[in-house]
Amino acid sequence: MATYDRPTGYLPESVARLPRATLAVMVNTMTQPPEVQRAQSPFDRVAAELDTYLRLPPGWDGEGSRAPTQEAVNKAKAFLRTLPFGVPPPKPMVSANGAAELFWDLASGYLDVSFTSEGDVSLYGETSSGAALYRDGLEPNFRHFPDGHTLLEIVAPEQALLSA
Amino acid sequence: MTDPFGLIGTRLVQALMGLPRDELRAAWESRTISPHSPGPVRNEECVVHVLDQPVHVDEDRQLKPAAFTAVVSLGLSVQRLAHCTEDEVVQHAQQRNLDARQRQRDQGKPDDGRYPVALLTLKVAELRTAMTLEPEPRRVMGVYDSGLRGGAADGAHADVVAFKGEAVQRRARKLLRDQAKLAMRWL
Repeated sequence: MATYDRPTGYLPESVARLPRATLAVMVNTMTQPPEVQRAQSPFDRVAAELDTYLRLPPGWDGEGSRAPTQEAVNKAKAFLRTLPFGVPPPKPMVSANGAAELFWDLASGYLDVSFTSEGDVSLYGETSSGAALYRDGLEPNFRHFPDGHTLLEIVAPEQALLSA
Repeated sequence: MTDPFGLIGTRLVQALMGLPRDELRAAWESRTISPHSPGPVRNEECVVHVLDQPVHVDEDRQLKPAAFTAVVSLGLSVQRLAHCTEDEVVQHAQQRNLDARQRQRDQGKPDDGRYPVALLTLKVAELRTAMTLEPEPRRVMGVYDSGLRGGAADGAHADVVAFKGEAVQRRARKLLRDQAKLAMRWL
């Protein structure tokens, strides 16, 4: 979020002397945007953080970088609502090219799903055995993703066992 | 900073992507593409990248793969520790940040929230040996000397660039994140 770098002058000196990165994370956690603070469930917090990406200024991550469009964020949030029961919440991230993204990095594998500002949806995954998969031209619906069982084995191996 | 050969940043990436085969992209690693460079980047070198956008760090202080998206579009800027010190890199980044903030104020632009967050160390050999196996074995990224005119940290500049293909590029940024989180120093 663009809110990490808050003024810290109101903090006690002992806290203000902490390494800046530690302080930044602490301050950001305490002063996250209201919509993130209000979010009730972990999934709501992911959605709320995606919304904050809309406020990133042009050039936020260097030359030519841009914030995601409302469409990209909406697709990412719509995708969140399609995750099957038992799938843990992903982490949100944002790319300099204006893509809103979600990812899981678990012992069972890695999966990221990208929602570009042009409306494209793609996934990249790696299983714990090292097999990789990439798919694009997707709908923002986990249940319609190809290789659904492999993806479930990455993000929710217990659920994959039950559904096998 | 000068760009005498027209092959720094996005133009370097575009030139590399225009090459028809990975072998040609790899061959460029042994070339010097800047008169300000001390020479091609050797496999045994280490390079450092200054992470300067805190949005790429989650609340558990873990790096997000999107921090490395520049490897696809602009080239990921790194400095070669064989030719400058970590302190020089950090000072350079801090000064650049101060200059950028001043420019933003002068131009009435919003604060972009950037500041030097962490110094990430990467081993060139590991970047150059990173592979993807599907659909066929391929290298994932290259490291190119792209020294700039200026101080030690400018001359030691290099770029990490992902090879062609969406899957390769997504793997490149994940591998960069995996390697960087092993050798990360908060600033």
